[in-house]
Amino acid sequence: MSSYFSFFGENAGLLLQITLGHILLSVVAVLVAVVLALPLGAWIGHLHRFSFAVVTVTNVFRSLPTLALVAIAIAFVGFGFTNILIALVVLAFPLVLTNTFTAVEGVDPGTVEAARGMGMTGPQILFRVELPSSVPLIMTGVRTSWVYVVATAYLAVFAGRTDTLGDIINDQAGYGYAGVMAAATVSVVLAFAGDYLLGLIERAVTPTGLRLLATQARGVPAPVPA
Amino acid sequence: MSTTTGGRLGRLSLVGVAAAGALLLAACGGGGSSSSAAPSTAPSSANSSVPADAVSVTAMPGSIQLPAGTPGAGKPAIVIGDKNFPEEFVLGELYRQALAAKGYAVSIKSNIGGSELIDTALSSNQIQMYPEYLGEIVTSVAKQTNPPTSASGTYQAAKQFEESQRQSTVLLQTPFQDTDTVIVPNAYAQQHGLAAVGDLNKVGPGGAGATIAGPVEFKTRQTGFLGMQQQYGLTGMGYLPVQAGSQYTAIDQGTAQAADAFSTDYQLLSNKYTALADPKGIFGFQYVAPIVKQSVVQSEGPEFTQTLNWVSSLLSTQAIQALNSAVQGHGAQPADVAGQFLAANGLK
Repeated sequence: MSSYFSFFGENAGLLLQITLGHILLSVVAVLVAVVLALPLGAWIGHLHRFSFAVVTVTNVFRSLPTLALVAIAIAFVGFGFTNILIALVVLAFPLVLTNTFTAVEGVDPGTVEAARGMGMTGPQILFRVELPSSVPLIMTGVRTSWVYVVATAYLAVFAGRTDTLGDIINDQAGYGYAGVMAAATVSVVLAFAGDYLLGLIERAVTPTGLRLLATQARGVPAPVPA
Repeated sequence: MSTTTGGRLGRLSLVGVAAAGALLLAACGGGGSSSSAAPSTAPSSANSSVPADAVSVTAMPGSIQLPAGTPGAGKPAIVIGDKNFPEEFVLGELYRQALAAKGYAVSIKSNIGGSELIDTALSSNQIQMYPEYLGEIVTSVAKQTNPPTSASGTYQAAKQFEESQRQSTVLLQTPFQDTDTVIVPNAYAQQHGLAAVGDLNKVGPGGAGATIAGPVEFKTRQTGFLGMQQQYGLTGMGYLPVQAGSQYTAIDQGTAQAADAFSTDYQLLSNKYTALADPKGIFGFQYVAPIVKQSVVQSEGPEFTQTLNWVSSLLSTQAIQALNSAVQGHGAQPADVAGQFLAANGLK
């Protein structure tokens, strides 16, 4: 146990370096996944079509072992950042996509009808009504994908990267159980910290009306507007 | 793994070619390669893979005759074990089939486990013999922290441990060993004049400009990249962690210039790569020998030992690579491959 705690001090430089690499890789992977999945999910949800195909395809993606993807991608993109990035995006993409289209599709039909009755166009409905109402569920997808990605990015060592927590996690022979536990702890902390930060972002981008509804649902009286 | 332009058909047709290749190698493994190099001098100079200090404990190619007849008839039955990977399956089958052909009542328990586990199986007398890598006995079973720095020292340390702690002994070791070895593409070796690991310093200061691909744990091992840095001064080299097997892809693609391989990998048969010598012995010594209960050696008689030593003497590096190629590269059964190999070398 003492070696577990002393590992942090004795390997502070290495831990810092690979933690930063781990964060960079994870952030880029989640960003790419969001950029790809959000428009597609919103569009499908808005159309109320193709959801069966999407569910099927994303479930297939989700079941692909990340390590197998890394090995396969070596033949196409070689070793390096792109290789592990592709594997992590494939992991994160279905989570964001499914949550986005489920959220947009599930927006109260009465609300959408009312917007249409007011003369709003399709894109206006999507951007002003459906997407704002979908923020909490979409952000849940993003937060889940972050946790998955951070917990899986250690596989970067199999794609030829020496700058993630995987350097230690995959080398029990070299760093001992104390080292593996220490690196795994950092990974867990990263997952929680990122989840917390994304929670703050979620709060910031959630429309006031929804936030009030959520507060009321918890039994707290809504603040009276001044 | 490799670039597969031929596709499935191409690979299937290779099976026949490889089996024939293994037989060919087997046929000339009895002495063809060594006799052409140095006809009448000591075997050590003829077979460069066996260090001079270890010749006396090695079953040198061509030096051991197969006993005639079936001396094993009526001797007590024994059980052979082997460890949990393909090369061991082949070794176990080779020893078993040779003994069976000589009339010994022998059965095999294959795929038992790692070094510690199979040592326990021997201690508890569930098996009476198994083929083992001698460096493994010293480090994994005897758990000596300062491994010997020579092939003969490793053999003696393993033998001493087995005799004093396990009531067992170590027969003659094979001419091949299965150890980590640094390989580079042939063209790269010629371009920079590389013959030994230390020559990588010629590429750049401390090996700067060259990257070595290997499993992630190789990076931090004394018997790995760490030892290369400390013993050969290769502090400028880069490291590319890969999954086992992918290191060949890495140097084929040019992402790495060197790779950590096993000296018995069948991929080395392709003659595309140059294995760099390790004069300081940092990767340890992993020659194979049968570990046998002393009581069994006594009760089975001298022809038993001679038969096993004869099998060991056939196993040059090229021979084991060809056997591995048939099993790992082309999916042949270890028992079939071992049987063909022994038959080609004169076992009836």
